[in-house]
Parts: sequence; C-alpha cells; structure tokens
Amino acid sequence: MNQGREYKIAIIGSRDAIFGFKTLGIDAIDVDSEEKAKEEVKRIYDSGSYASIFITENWVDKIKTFLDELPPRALPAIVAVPSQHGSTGAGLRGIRKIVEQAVGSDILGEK
Amino acid sequence: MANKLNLNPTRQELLKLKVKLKTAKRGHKLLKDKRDGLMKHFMSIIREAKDLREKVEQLLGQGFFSFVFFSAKMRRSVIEEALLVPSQKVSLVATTKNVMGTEVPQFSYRQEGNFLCYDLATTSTSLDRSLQVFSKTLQDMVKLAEVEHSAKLLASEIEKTRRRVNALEYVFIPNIEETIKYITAKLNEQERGALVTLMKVKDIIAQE
Repeated sequence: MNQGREYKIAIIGSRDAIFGFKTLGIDAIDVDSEEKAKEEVKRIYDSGSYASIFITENWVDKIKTFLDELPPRALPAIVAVPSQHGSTGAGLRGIRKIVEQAVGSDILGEK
Repeated sequence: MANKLNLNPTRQELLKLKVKLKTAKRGHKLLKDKRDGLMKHFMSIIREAKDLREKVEQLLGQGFFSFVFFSAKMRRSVIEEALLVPSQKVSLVATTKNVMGTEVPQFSYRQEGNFLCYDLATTSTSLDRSLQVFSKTLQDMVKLAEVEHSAKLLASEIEKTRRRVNALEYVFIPNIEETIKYITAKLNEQERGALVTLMKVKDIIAQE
C-alpha cells in the first residue's frame, strides 16, 4: 500500500442542486453548459489533487462520450450521483455495464 | 496446416519454437490465475457497489429534492450569503492498493465540524433537512466512489487479461504446436530421403 495523502472532493452539477454541498466542505462547481462541464472535468481530472468527482446524472448523460474517453486511472474516481430530478438509472446502468465487461453477461439482473 | 507460422524447417528453429512454447504455456497459466484472482476480488465488491448505489440514490434524491425546494423559496443573494463560509471540513486520505497488479483506490474519510453555519432565522427548514441528508450520505458517497471505481478498474483489467488468455490458448499455442509438428515431419522426411539416397549410392557402388 502506498503512502496516503490528502485529497479534495468535487461535485459538479446544476447550481441549484449542488450548492448545498459547499457547506459540507466539498468543492461545488456549478456548470451551465456542456463545454463548461467538460472543461471543469478536464481541469479537475488533470489537477491531481482530487480523489473523487461526483457528477449529477443529468450532466453525466450529457457528457457521456467525453467521460468514456478519459484515460482510466486509480485517481480520481468519477461517480454519477442522482440529480434533483431523482435517479435516472444511469448509475445502475453503469454498474451493469461494468459487470458485463468483466463477466461477459449481466449477473446482477437475475436477483 | 493453415495456421502454422512461416518458418524454415530447420533444427535451430525447432529448438527455438520449443522454448517459446514452454514460455507461452507458463504465461498462459499465470494469466489464467491472474484472471481468476481478479474475478474473485471483483465479485466480492460488485454487489457491495450495487447495494451502496441503490442506497445513495434513494437518500440523495430526497436531499436534492428538499434543497431545490429551498433554493426556489429563497432569494439567490440570501442563499449565497448563508452558504458562503463553510464551517465543516472534510478530509479524505486516499491510498492505492495493489490487486494483482492493478492499482485500486482506498479512501479513508473524516468529517470535521458542523455544517450549521448559517442564520437559522433567515433560512428555510428545507435547508436544514437537505443538508442533514447530504451530510449523512456523504460517507456512503465516498465509499461508493471507492468501490465503484475499483470495480471499474478491475473490470477493464479482467477484460484485458481474458483477451490475453484467449489469444494464448486459442491462437498462439496451437500455432506453435502446429509448426513444431510440421518441422518435425519435414526433418524426418529429409532424414528418410538422405537414407534412401545413401542406400542407393551403396547399391550402385556394390554393383560395380
């Protein structure tokens, strides 16, 4: 195990939804366009001082291809969280996709 | 014979191929073990990831819901003023763990202070409610980030390893075996040919 170091957490989404996370000590970054969202994700991804980026699902859907193209790295972890409209199921679909990639078929759906 | 490698049928090539085959078989076994190990680890975390996600999605949905209500009710300047200076701090220490050659993150996380840093008189109770939810969920969110990201990294590694195992098992090793067979047959044929020539020559000499 490597030497640990302190990291920050960021959350990206629409202003109205994520502003509350600011009081919890998380960097809340509000975005209002796809370009802005991509730019911010890129900046955070390359800065190396963030351990995880939470992105609300409505924005994940918008910049999906961009996120898929990011090179896989141990850090930061990009995670979809539901937006103020509730869950769109994008997160669970993501897990399904991961399982399918690893196992070859969706074994979680059987439950 | 369609899959044999394009090589000269010589003894030297045969020896080289035999060494290659041995290495390939060993590599195949090792990669297979790696794949199984990764799979085992993956299986142990993927269900956790799914359960965590379901939990976070449910909680956070509620939190966002009340927060949006709050921001709709209040003026923007009031919201900004209320939430300007965060009093709570989170510290997240991340380390990476090595699972079968794949680096996966591990987070340990601590919350400090209280999020109640705003004027209770001027803000709506929806804010308290949503922040409470956020604060409670954050722990799970960080855990989710760790588990889900690990699963993602492991999945791509498993896929890669599986491809390598299959390439060795169904393409590389059969090809080498075929070529070895071909070269052996060819060498034997040459030997027989040489023997026949020798016998013929001996016959001619004996006749004279």
